[in-house]
Amino acid sequence: MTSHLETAHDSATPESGETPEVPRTPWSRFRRRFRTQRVGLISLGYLIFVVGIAVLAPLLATDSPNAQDLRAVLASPSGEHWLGTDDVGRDVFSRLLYASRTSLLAALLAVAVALGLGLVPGLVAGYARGRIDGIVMRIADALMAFPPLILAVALVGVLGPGLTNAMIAVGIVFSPRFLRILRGAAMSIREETYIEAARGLGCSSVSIIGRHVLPNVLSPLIVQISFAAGTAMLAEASLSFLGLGVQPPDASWGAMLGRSYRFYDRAPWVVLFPGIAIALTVLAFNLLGDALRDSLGREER
Amino acid sequence: MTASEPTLAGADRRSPVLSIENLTVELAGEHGHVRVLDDVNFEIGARETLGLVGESGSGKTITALSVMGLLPKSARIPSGSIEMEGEQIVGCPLSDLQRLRGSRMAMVFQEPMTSLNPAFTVGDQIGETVRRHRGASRRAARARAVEMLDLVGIPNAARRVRSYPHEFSGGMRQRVMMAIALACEPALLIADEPTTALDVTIQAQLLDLLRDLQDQLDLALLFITHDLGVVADICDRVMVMYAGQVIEGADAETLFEHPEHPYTEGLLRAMPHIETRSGELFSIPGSPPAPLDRPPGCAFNPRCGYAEPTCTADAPPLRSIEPNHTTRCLLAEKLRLQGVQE
Amino acid sequence: MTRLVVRRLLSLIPLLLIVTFLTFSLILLVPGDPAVTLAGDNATPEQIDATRERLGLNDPMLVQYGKWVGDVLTGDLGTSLYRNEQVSETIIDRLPVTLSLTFLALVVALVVAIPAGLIAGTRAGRASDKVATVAASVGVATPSFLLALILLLFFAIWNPWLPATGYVALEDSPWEWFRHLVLPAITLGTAAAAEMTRQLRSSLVDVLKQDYIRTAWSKGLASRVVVGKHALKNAAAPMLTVAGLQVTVLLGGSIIVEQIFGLPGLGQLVISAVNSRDLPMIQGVVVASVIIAVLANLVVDLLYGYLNPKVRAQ
Repeated sequence: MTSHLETAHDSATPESGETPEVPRTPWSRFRRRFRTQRVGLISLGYLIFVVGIAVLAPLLATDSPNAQDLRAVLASPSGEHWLGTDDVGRDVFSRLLYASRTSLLAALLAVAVALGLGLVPGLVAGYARGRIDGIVMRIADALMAFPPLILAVALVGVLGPGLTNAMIAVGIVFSPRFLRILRGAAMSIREETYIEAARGLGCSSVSIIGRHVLPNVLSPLIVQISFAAGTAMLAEASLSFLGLGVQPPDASWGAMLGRSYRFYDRAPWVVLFPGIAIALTVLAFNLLGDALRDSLGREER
Repeated sequence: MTASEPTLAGADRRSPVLSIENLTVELAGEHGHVRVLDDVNFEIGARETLGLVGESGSGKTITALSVMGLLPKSARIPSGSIEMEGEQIVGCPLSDLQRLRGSRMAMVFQEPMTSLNPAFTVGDQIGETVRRHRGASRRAARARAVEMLDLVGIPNAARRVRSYPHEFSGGMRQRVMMAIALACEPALLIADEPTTALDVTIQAQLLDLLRDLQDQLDLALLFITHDLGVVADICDRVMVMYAGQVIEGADAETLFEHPEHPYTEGLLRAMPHIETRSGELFSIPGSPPAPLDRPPGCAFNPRCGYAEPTCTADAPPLRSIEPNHTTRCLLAEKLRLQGVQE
Repeated sequence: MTRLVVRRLLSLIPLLLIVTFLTFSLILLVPGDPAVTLAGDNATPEQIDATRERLGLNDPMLVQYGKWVGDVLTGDLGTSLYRNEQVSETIIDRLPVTLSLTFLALVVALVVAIPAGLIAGTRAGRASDKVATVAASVGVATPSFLLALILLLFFAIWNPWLPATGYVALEDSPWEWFRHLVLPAITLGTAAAAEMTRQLRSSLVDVLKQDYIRTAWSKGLASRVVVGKHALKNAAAPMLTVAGLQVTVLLGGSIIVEQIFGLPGLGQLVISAVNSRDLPMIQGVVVASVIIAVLANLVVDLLYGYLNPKVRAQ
């Protein structure tokens, strides 16, 4: 039965006129597969667009992000204020553009902290195995047992509020994810060098790590970075919403939202637009992660 | 039934349990539909065993799944008829199929290790069928499950009924599969390579059991295998399939002693106990054609040692060469093919 | 089964030791001299000393931890630095709110995810599957405050059907309790519903390809039984694991939701504790929430044993 389907498929390939696809490097295979991921490409395009906005915010903004216009408080969207104004008359559109910088940087920072914290313990645990591995993994499991936002809030609580502290806290919460991936990597490095030593082949362990181990580590790492960036952005928004993240007058999308939330019944736009910006960007990170996972994974049958 | 495609005579001609006529099956592929079963005809009567033999991909399993209505969604039956105790199965509503499956016709699959649901007790999985088709109470279904486990030779049935599949060996699981299949005393049992995954001693025990059960329950048995040795053991009649077609059919003894198709001869020579003088096992050169690039003429001609130019011309029909013996070989009269003497 | 329960409970001991130690270590992260920082900006030297004394900061680190864990084991989480309250009593006061919210959010998640996952998983590749998959992606990405805003506008402001804020205890009025928690539970449960839908869909697609499903069809069972019994019980195990993880996430997410809907639960408590740097209170809430999360995951583990007889037998 299945064999039927497979034979039908296999015998069809030579006739289909396509060039036989033999990927030379993991990178070219990835490019070939990623190109077919329409959703992933759109997400990537959107994220590049957001980064562009963040970089070009001063050029694109119609107003100064912190200029208050007390004659136009909570004004609805209009020709003058495209997305309306907030409770002290600041232009929501312009603030949204500037806030994208904070939101993106915060996500980046949190992922960097998580990666940094996971790096050494993960590699050591995977390479040393045994007791050290046991202890590190126990701690990682314990960290994952905490309700993530409660742990992040508590960490900010003791460190003191502020964007950097908030992102360190989020980084700590996320670090076990990266730790696990890096531990797996270190374990496979160990295996590879062991095999190589046993065989006594000419290739150096550096080339083995570069050619075989690194690509296998990078794939899950890149996928996880994309997902983590989305989750970190949500976490930043949550902490800033609670007033524990970025401090006024600077704003991230979450902070804009948190500050204006009590006016949601009178002026929904002050909440709606930053909220949609967060949702779309997180969605793009997640969908990009899905597409990367599908393109970077091993060949499936 | 058409004149050119004679049906193999059944033991009980008047009321066959299963009757298949001109059955053709196509699978959707990337380039349209591909024919995977071509004009198959046969009948099976009560207490009769028909063997369906061929390499994997020859259409044996497709035939079985067509009867059960379990073809994959990509499959379609452009023509043909399958009658189960007189009821048409091709094109019938799902509810009719669901009424017949498990009660009038049942199937045992090749993979005992994966064919049972790991999350339910074997008693549940046997009793479920009885509850479904006979409206039995939980208690009655449980009692029937114990009875069936006993019947298929599982010791301590009353206790084992509460066990989960992972607590049984492969051979025992296949017995459980038989218990499930036979719990409602169906008229037809389809066994698709039921012993292939098991080792030889277990295989022999299961075949004995199958024969016993057939006698007790008046089963019509459609036995699918690639192993002619097993066929010799259990089947009354045999049909050899190749590339979606029946290429030869006869009663088991005739087929073994006087094969009328070179492919059958090749299969017989490839049986383990018939060794060539050098002590090596014979194998037919080449491999069966994919459904898409079937050779013109006889599908077997590229692998056939006797092939002549006529063999690549028109596709040969299945024809009677003797009473109750059909072949698709054009040269059957000319060739003196080697059989097996028991 | 009893053996399984006992073994799982015993395996929790090291986890809880590490978890409490990590919670305790929060004090190490306080910048500068904890006593100075925590006593507040305008504290007198006497107040600072008093704070130091109350936190036991004069003892060596491990002694401090030993004392603290000992107290935690007896249910004593210390006293608040600012309110003249026992931390454990305050937490027990607030606990029902958070538990109600988390529980209802989980119910929402299951009520949405099981049918949605079933539909998507049995119709993989068709339109209904695509709609469910897209909806799940959006659901995971939507911040709870955006969803809360939309729900509030539609169901509390423009149509005053449900209360926008506040909490009524279950024992006072079950109906009002429910009415006050509907919107918060939907807000909190949506992301979990999306996550679980995705998981159920993919494991169902996988399970439906299994040989035992073909066996179930061959027995003449109705589609409802093949999918709802044979496939679902097998596909539910991975979904259950996700559900366990989701309880942990929901407890975290309740902070935001409690803030928005004015629910006096642990989330609000920890926010006010953080704003006043009330360390014993922060530690108390963290320990309480992690214990709830761990217990919820224990329940999940045991249910997993029910779904997977192989695990139970070990």
